[in-house]
Amino acid sequence: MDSSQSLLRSMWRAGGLLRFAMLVLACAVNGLRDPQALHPRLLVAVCAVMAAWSVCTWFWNQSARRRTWVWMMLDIVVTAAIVATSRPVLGETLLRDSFLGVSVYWMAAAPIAVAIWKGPVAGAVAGAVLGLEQFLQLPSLAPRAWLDLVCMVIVPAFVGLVATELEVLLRQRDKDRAVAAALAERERLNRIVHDGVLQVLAMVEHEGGDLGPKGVRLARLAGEQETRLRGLLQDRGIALDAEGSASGDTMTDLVSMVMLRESPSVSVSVMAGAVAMPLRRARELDAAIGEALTNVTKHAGPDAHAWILLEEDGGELIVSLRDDGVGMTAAQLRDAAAAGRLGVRESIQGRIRALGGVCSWRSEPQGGLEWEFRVPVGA
Amino acid sequence: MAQASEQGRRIMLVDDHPMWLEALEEDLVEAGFDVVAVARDGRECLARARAVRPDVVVMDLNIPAPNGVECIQQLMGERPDLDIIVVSASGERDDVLDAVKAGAKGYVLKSASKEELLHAVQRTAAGEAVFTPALAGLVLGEYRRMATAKQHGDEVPELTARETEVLRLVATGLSYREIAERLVVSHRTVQNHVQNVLHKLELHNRVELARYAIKQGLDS
Repeated sequence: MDSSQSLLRSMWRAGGLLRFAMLVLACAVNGLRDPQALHPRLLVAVCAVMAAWSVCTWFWNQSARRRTWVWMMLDIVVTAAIVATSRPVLGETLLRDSFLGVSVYWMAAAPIAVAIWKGPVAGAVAGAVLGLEQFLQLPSLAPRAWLDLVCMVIVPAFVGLVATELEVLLRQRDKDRAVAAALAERERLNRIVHDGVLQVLAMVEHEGGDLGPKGVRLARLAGEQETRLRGLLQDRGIALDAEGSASGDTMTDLVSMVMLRESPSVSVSVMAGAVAMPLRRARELDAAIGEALTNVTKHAGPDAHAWILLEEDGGELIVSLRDDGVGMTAAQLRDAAAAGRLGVRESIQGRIRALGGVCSWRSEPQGGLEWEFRVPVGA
Repeated sequence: MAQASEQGRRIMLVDDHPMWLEALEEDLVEAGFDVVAVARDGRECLARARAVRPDVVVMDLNIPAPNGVECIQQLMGERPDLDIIVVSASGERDDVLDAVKAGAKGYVLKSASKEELLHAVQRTAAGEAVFTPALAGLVLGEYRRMATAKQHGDEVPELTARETEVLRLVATGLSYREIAERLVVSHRTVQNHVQNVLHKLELHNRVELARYAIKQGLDS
């Protein structure tokens, strides 16, 4: 059952209970003034009719199917008939005392039911009809006489308004939930599809090597696609983008960004979860990593493999980058940097410094080259 | 090649993809392993593991319920001496971390070469932790996360300076031998550090689970 349905059910129950509360009030007021009434016995009979009708409406209104035009009209007509007995039963003198009819405020229950059923306008019209009827029993300019008429319009209108608004709200929520559920289901199906694709790609990569030169090429292609797809599947940048746009500066997930650097010749190790970082800073840091990787492909030899480790330690990012290429002595590296080669000076050191970080390297002949960048996450 | 004692150990394969089950079984049998059971989903995995009592489980995480992580949790609870290695296609970081916390001794991607996969299973069968660079990064990140999220009075495991150093070297692709050379310690010492790191994480996870279970019990 959706929530707008269950809300409507409880609104109807509340309407029914209100009718009983008004019945108790009417009986109390009438009981106190019964001796002064023109026809005390008839007044008791009218109270009995009100009680009987309250019970009828309580049961009848439980089912939505039975709440028809005819029934709602009948409710108004019965209430109007009871209200109409006010002057003949109570007598003019007693009525002028308080301007309260035989039903007291019980007559508001029927317009409230109409308001829950068809909204504020219908409720207000029904209330106006009954209020006017009550007023016409003994027309007077005394505020006590016409204030009840005003209340008979305002109260059902208000109840109708609340009921309609709540229903619209809950309908929307139900719809949103249905959309969310559909999205989750699509996500689940995506996972199954992606997993299947990953399995096959990994299988080609795994077995391709045994199938001759063509197989080796297939295995390499499958490997590239597999790495790429795996990187994309772990991308959490979208959620962070939405979060960051509120604060004015677009945020992105650095982890996903660095993960995209993974390839058959580059291994990337990161922590679980995401690191939110301003987009511009993340791009700069990623570009520095890219530069260092370009270095590897250019200078470390064709078979070199590179490893990237990304850590976050108390607001500081630590990027360690190592390759197993031919390596070079510190003097060679310094010379290269001095000569502006390797892109070292500008592209790597400059970028890291501009981010407020520090950058260091070490290299051993035959031991590859190792970089370490330490950069604060925020500005 | 594997030692005779490792090859004598009984292996169970868990994967919902028939082609992988076949390929893995073929490779392992060819290398001299004794594959005693295969399972295609979590329920089969738990039932068969209880029936045939394998020594080593090679497990895909993405299997029909109960999923790989839940299976590992369950199996390690019943048989703490079991050696489990995760072989996964997707490499979802959270899943892998959960698997290791639940007691898996290692993790390799399915896209690893045949030799790498076999080597990983051999090392698991020998009772060693199989730490790939990716896994080392995840574990390192988890220790850092626990230290940051730690509240007053919490007891969270911490890495020694040496363990951190070893993990960082593993994460940047150095082999145990290279690490041993660099730190001037024995190969065995490096292995012990790595094993210790995993063990602390697993132990902490078990304490947390028990605490959670007790709290749930008290609340209900």
